[in-house]
Amino acid sequence: MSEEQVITKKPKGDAESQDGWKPKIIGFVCNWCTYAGADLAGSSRLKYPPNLRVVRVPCSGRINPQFILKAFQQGFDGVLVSGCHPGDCHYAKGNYYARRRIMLLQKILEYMGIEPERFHFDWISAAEGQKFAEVVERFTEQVKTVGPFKGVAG
Amino acid sequence: MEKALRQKARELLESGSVRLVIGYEQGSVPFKCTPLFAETPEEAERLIWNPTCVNNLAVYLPQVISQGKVAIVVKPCDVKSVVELIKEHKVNREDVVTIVVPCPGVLNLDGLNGLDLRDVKSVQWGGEGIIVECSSGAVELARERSFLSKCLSCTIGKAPLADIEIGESPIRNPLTDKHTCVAEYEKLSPAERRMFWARQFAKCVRCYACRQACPGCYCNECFVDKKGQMWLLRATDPASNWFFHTSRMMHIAGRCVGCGECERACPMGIPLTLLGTKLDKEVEEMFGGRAGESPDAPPILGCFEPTDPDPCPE
Repeated sequence: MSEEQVITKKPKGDAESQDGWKPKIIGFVCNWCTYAGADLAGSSRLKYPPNLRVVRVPCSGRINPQFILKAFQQGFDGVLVSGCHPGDCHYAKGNYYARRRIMLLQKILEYMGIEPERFHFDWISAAEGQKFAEVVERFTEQVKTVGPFKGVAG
Repeated sequence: MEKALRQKARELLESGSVRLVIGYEQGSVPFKCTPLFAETPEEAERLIWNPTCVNNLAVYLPQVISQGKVAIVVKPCDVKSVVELIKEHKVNREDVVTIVVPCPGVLNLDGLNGLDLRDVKSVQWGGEGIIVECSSGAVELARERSFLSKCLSCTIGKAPLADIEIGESPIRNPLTDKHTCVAEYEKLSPAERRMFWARQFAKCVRCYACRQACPGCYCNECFVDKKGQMWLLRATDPASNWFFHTSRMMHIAGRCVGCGECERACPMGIPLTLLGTKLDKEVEEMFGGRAGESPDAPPILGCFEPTDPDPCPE
């Protein structure tokens, strides 16, 4: 699938579960750290909520802020972004560039009225399977607390 | 003033040191100007400099610079756009000659409301603000009514990149603070803010006038025009409009010099500078730099410091 198809694909399945609403969360994670961390969480059989759809990208520096904006435009309830810890980037400095962009994006989203709880950024390394599970758990709870996203247009 | 400007432009063209002078000439009505592209000394005689010269002419630079050296008439605030273009290697420093004109502020067309526009003969600086010469006599407009809001909060001192300076730049005495409107807006709750933009962007007809007027929007192919990777539909639904405007803002983040051309060009009156001003403020607070200050500084989002603020401090 092209990146456009990935981000415009409507999440389905658990949208209409028996007890009503379940949050739809998209996660953009770096191939070298967080994706491997997620893998570790899986192989260690750690439990975390199934609401997250993971999109693997080569580096957090690859995450175009428009991916995140597009996710909100399409009505995702939450967006998680994660990459290698500062100083540990596979490409030496991709995450430093990402950090500036993400900081600004976070500010502008909040400014435009998207609840800050709907966006989360974290550094998760390949060894932090436990942290990955915890972050997803905590973020899903957080999104549940703010409730369904009414969309960017109202 | 106009005389000195024409004289300079004439000299530059006659000596052959520039191929083209970009400036302002009288528009079809006395209260509007239109850009002038003077290639001969005779054409340079049509240059004007008065309160109607609102456009940021730097927007034309990337299109004309490849054909030879260009001189451009710029207000001290427009110089920042030229600085950004040099910084981003769209324009070579040696290919551009800036002619900085002294600017007390430029005309806010809304200030003419209530006057019979057919009657207007000329618009000139005078008194505290602007004097509009009508056939029935002169009308003096106060500063608050005459000038664009960016001019009322202007604190620009010396232009960072002035090759030729015409006259003395007036001393700034800002009436308002440009961050006031941001602070005012920030009093709204998140839901109210979302509604605010939903209403604003519902008006958007996606004519892309904001993009065309922006000196920072020079991409050969804008993301909205891409066909292979279709970021958004051509139709104007409020959510797509939201995506367009927020994406554009992220593209000009750290590069926006706050010239306000996007808002001025908008036929639907969307307050786009409310976003640009906020970005400018955040960029300065977080990364300690501002767009358009020095041509030697790296682009703000194209560099980093290991000590940058962290969205997830350890």
